[in-house]
Amino acid sequence: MADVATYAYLRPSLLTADGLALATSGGVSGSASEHPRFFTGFLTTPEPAAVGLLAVAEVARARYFQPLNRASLDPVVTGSRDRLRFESFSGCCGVYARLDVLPGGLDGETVDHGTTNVDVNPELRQALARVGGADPLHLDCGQDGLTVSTLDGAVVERKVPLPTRWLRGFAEVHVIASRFDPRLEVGSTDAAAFLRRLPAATDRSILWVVPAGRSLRLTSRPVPGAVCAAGAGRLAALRPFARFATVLRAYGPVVGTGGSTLVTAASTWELETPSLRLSLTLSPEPARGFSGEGAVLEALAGDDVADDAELIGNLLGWDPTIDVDRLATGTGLPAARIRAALTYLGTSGRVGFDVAEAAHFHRVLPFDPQRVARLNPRLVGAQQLVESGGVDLVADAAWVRSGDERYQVRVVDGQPVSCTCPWWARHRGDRGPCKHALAVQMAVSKSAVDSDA
Amino acid sequence: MSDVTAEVMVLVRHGRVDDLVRVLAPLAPPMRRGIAAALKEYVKTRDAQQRIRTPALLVAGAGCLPTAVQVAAWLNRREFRFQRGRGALIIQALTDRGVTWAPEIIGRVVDALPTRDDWQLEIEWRFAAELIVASGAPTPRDDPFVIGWAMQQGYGRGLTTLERLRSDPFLPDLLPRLFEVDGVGAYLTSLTGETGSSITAFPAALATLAAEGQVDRDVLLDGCLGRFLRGGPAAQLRGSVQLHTALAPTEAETEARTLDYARLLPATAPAVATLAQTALRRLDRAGRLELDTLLEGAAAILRRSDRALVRAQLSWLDSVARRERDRVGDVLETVEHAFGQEDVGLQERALAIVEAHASACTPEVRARLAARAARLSADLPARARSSLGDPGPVASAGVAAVVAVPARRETVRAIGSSAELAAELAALGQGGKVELERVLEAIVRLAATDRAGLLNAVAPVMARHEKATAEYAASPWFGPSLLDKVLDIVRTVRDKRPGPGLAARARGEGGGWIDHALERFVARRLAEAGLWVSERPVPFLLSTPTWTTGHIDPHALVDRIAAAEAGGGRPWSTDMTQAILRLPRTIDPDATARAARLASPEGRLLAEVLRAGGTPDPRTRRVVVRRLRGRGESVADKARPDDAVFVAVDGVHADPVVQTLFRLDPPVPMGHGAEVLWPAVLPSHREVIAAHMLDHFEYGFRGTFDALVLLAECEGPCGPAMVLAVAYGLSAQHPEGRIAAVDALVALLSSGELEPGALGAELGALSVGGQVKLSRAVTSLTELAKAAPEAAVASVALGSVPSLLAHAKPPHGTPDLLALASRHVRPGSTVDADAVTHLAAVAARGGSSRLVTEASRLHRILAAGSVQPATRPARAPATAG
Repeated sequence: MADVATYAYLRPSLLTADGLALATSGGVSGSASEHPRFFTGFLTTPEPAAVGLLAVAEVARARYFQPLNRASLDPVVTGSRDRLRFESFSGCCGVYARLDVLPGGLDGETVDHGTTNVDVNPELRQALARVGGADPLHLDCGQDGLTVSTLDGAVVERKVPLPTRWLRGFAEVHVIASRFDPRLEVGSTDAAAFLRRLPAATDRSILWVVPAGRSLRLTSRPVPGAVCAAGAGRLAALRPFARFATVLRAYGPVVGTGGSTLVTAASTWELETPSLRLSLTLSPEPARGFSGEGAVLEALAGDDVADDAELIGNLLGWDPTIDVDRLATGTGLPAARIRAALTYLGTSGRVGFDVAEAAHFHRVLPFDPQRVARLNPRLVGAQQLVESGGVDLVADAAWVRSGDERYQVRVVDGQPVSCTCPWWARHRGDRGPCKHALAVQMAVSKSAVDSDA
Repeated sequence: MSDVTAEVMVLVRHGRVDDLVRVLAPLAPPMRRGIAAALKEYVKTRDAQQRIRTPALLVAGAGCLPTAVQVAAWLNRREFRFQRGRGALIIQALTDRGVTWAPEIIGRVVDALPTRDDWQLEIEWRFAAELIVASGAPTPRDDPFVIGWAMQQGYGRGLTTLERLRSDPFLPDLLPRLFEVDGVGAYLTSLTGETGSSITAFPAALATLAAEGQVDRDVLLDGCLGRFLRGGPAAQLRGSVQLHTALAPTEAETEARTLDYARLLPATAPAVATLAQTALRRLDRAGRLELDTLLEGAAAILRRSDRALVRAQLSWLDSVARRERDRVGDVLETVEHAFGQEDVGLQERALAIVEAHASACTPEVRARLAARAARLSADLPARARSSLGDPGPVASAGVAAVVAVPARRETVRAIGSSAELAAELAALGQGGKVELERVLEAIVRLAATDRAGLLNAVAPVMARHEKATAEYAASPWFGPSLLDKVLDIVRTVRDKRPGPGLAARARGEGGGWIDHALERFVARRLAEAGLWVSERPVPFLLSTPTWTTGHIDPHALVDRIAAAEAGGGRPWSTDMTQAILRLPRTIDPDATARAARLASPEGRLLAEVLRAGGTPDPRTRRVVVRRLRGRGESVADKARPDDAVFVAVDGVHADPVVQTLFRLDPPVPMGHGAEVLWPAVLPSHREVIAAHMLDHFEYGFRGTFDALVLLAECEGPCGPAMVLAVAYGLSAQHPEGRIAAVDALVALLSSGELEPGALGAELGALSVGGQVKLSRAVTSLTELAKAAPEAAVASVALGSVPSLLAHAKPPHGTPDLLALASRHVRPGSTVDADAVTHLAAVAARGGSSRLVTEASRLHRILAAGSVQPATRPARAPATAG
C-alpha cells in the first residue's frame, strides 16, 4: 500500500480553440519517450468522444463501494496502429471502463505506439462537457517534440496512492473478460430506457438481464442466456453516452447450466457508435473488487507457460488486436499454447482483452505489475504451504495443514475441485481457488514432474 | 534538570501558556535543546495526556524542538488532536526563536488534515487556520482545507454567515476553489449553528457580497456553471444551484453563457437541468436565443425521464411552433422526441401539439410524424390515424415474447464422497447455498456404510465450528444453528448414542423461542435423524427429494419403501411424514398400483394417500389482525399501519405433526429460520407455505422474496395467501425483491394458476390500507409487462381500480397504474362493471389533474371497445433454454 503513482506531465491537458491536447506521462512506447505522443489529427465525432472520455475519467475517480472520498488515478491510453484505447479502473476496483476510438473516429497521423497515463484535470473535464456540434475537433495525444524541448521538466506533477489491488484488478479483468461471449443486444431507444430504469447507484442488488422481445427485462435468477447486472446502478456512467449510441451489447460468461451454484457473475456492458465503443465491466458484487477474483491464480501457479509467454511477449506488435494464428505461424507453437501464453501475459497487465473483437490487444501498463503479481497473497500462501510440506496427497483428496487447522481438498482428475476452508465455503470457487487448492495444484504438478523424472 | 527546564515543565503542567511564551522568548538554543529532551520524555507519561496541558505542550514544543520537521510532527501528534489551539502563541514562540519555519510547519499541518473524518476535520481545521492567520502565511488551497473552511461557515458567536464572511481572511483565495473541490458542495447547504441554520445562508451571503461588489459576480456565476458542467451527485450540486438562484443572473449574463446552459440540458441532475431550461426560456422570451440552439436543447430534454422538465419543454415548444411559422416542421420533429416517453400523458401532450400545428407543415413531414405516431401507447395511435392520416402498415412494437422461466424440475444430485460432504458441510456453516437435503442424505447413508470415512472427513470441519462457537452461549431466542443441528447427527454417529436435547427436539419441543413453525418441522426431522442414526440406522432416507423443488418421484418412494420392507428396518416416522408431503399432485397410476402391493404400515399409508390423490388441501382465509406495537419500534416500523393482513389456515390432518402446519389461526406474529428450506417442506401445498411465510413477506426482509420464486415452482392452488405473498413482493422495498416477485408472477400467470384479477384487487386493497406502496407495485407491473401476456397485466391493473378509486384520496401512484392499464388493456376484454363505474365517476369530475386525465383515458378505451390499439402480435410464450 505504500506505493505512490507519480504523474509528471509537461503541461496540463487543455481544450482550446486549437483543439484538445492530452498530456501524457510515463509508460512504454516505441520511441521510449517519457511523454509519448501517439496521435495528432482530428476526432471526427467530437461530442460523443468527449462524453465517452468523460465517462472513462468519471470511473477512474469513482468509488462505488464505500464511497468515502474520491480516487484520483488517471486513465491510461494505449495507441495502436489505427486506434486509441482509453482505460480506467474505479478506486474500489469493481468497475473497469474503456473507450475505444475506432479507425472511423480518427482522422490524422499515428505517431507512436504504446501505453501511457493521460492527464484529465478538472478544467479539462469542464471543457469536455462543453464540447458540442459536429465539427471535427483537433486532437493531440501527447506533445510534439518541439514543445517538449522548450520545456524544462514537468510542470504538472501529482502523487497519488497506488494500491497494489488496483494493478491486480487490471490483470484479473482481462482474464475474466476473455471468458465472455456476447449475449444481449438492443437498439438505442431500448438501451436508453433500460439504463434509465436501473436501480440507484448505491443499490447492491444482484439482478440478471434477459432479452424480452426487442428490449431487456430484469430477472432474479441466472437463467441460460442471462447477463448479470450486480449493483447495476454502477452502469450510470454509461447514461450520458447512451444518446449517441446505436446499440447496447452485454457480454457475460456461460450461466444457468444444470447443477451450477453460481449466484453472481461479472459482465461487460458496451455502447457503440460507428466510430466509438464505450464499455464498462462490472465485478460480480459492488463490494468485490476484481483484484480479489483470483482468476489469474491458476495460470500463475503453474510455470510451464512462462517460457511461451516470454517468447510471445517479445513478438507482440502494436496491431489493433493480436492475431493468434499469425503468432502461431511465427513461433511454430499450437494456437492453444499461444492463448495460454496470452492469458499469462495478461496476468502481468501486458495484454488486455477486447470483448467486442473477442481478441487480446497489446498494452503495457505504465507501472510495474510484475512485482505486483508476486504479491498475490493466496499465491504466496500456497507456496509457503507447499514449501513447509503441509500438503499430503491421498487417493482422491488431499489434506492441507495450515497453522492449527486441517483442510481437505477434493481432487478430481488431478485438479482440486473443492476445499473445506471458509473461503471456499463462502465462494465455492467463483472467486478463484483458495490457497489450499492452489497448494494442492502445485503439489500435484510437482509430484507428476518427480514421477516423470 | 536545569532550573529553566524545571520552570518550563511546571508551567506546562499548569497549562500557563502565556507565561510559557514569556519564559521561552529569551532562551539560547542549548537551553531549548534541554527542554526539548524533557518534553519528549514528559509527553510519553500519563500525566501529559490531560487535555488541559495540550496547548502548553504545543507552545513549548514549537519553542524548543530543533527542526521544522520535528515541530510539525509534534503539532500533528495524535494525542493532541482534541485540544489543539493557541495558534497565535505558537507562531509567537517560533518568531521569538528567530526562525522562519512557519510556512513549512503550516504546510505539514495542512497536509495532515483528515480526509475521511468530517468531525475531526472541523476541529483540526480551526487550529490550522489560527496558525495561518497568525503567521500571515499564504492560504493553502488543498481540498481538505477548503472543505474544512466551508464547514465553519454556519458557526460563530452572534454573527450571521454574511457578517462573518465579510471579514473572512480566506474568502478571496478560497472562493474559486469552492466550485472545484469534490465533496465541498454538500457543506454549502448543510450549515447548522447559532445563526446559520438556514440551508440557504451561505449561498445567500455570497450573493449579497457579490451585490456589494466585495466578490466578483462573474467568478461566482462561472464557478456555478463549471460545477454543473463537471456534474456529480445532486446533493453535491445543491449549494451551487441555490447560489445560482440567489445570484439571479441577468439576461446579458445568461446570454454570454448560452452555450454552457445548453450543454447542461442532456445529462445533468434534474435541478440543474431545470435551472438551465428556465434560463434559456427567459432568453427566448427576450428574443435572444437562436432557434437551432433551442431545438437541439429541447430534443435533449425530451429524451430525459423527468416528467416536469418534459412537460415544461412541450409547452415551450408549443409556443415556439405558434411563433415560428416558417420552421414549424423542424419544431414538430423536435416535439416528436417525446413520443418515446413511457408516460402516456406526455405522449398525449406531444401528440396534441403535433396535431395543432400539423396543418402548417409539409406533407412529407406530416407523413413522417404520422408514421412515428403509430408507435404511441394506448389509444393514441388510433387518434393519430384520424388526425394525421393513416401511415399505412407499421412494424410491430415488439412486446414481450420471451418468458424466462427457470427449469422447474432439476434433479437433485447425490453427494459422491465423504470429502465432498465435508466441503458441503463447511458451506452450510458459512451461509453458502443451502444444500441441506443432500448433506442429510449423505450423512445417513455414509453412517450406515462408511462410518470411519465419514467421521474422518467431517472431524476437522466439526472441530473448527466447535472452536468458533465455543465462546458464545446459545441464545434462548434462536435455537441451535442449522449447522449444529446437522452436526448433532454426526455427533451421534461418533458417540454411538444421541446427544441431550435431541429427543425433545424430535418431539417438536425445545429449540429457539422464536423458531418458525416450518423451521420447527425441519428441526424435527434433523433431530429425529440424530436420535435414531446410531440405534435404529436406516440405509437411506425416504424423504430425500428427487427434484430441486422438493418433490419425490412416487415410483422412487415406492422403491424405497419396498427396499425398507426387504431389509427389515423400520423407517423413521417424521421422515415418512415428510416423504408423503413431498408427493407431487399428479401421480402416475402405475405408481399407485405398485404401492398397493406394499405390506408394511408405511407402504399401506403410501398406497392410501396415492389412491386418494394426495394430501387434501386445507382451507385458507384472509384475516386482518391488529399489529403488535412496542416501544422498540424503528421509524420504519412506526410507519406501518395498525392493521396487518395475513392468512389463516383451517385444516385437519390425522398426523399430529402435519396438523401443526395445517392449522394457523391466528397467524403467528413472527418466526425465525432459514426461509429457502421451507417451500420444500410442502412442495404440493404452496398456499399453506405462503400462509406460514406471510409474516416474512409482510415485513419485507431483504432476500425474503427469493422464496417466492421457489413457491412459484412448487405446486398447488393459489389462494389468498399466494395472492397476498405476490402482492407484498411486487411492492417490496428493494429491487431484487420486486424482481423476484415478478419472476414468480410470470410463472404463475403463464401456467394460469394465479387469477390476475384477484391479485389486482388485493393490491388495490393493500394500497388503500397503507400496507404497501402502490408506486412500487407499478414499477413491478411495468417490468411484468415485458414478460407476461398483456391481457394478464391489464387484468391485474384493472382489478385494483375499484378499491383505489372508491377511496376519497386515491393513493400515490394511482394515475401511473391507470396509465399502465391503458397501455395494455385490449378492447373486448371482460371488465368488472364496478371498475367502469368508478372510472366514469372520476372522469366526470373534470379538471386537468393526472388522476382525472388518466381515468378518462382508460374509461374512453374501455368504452370504445371496437377501437383497435396498435397492432401487437401475440406470440406464444417460449421458455428460454
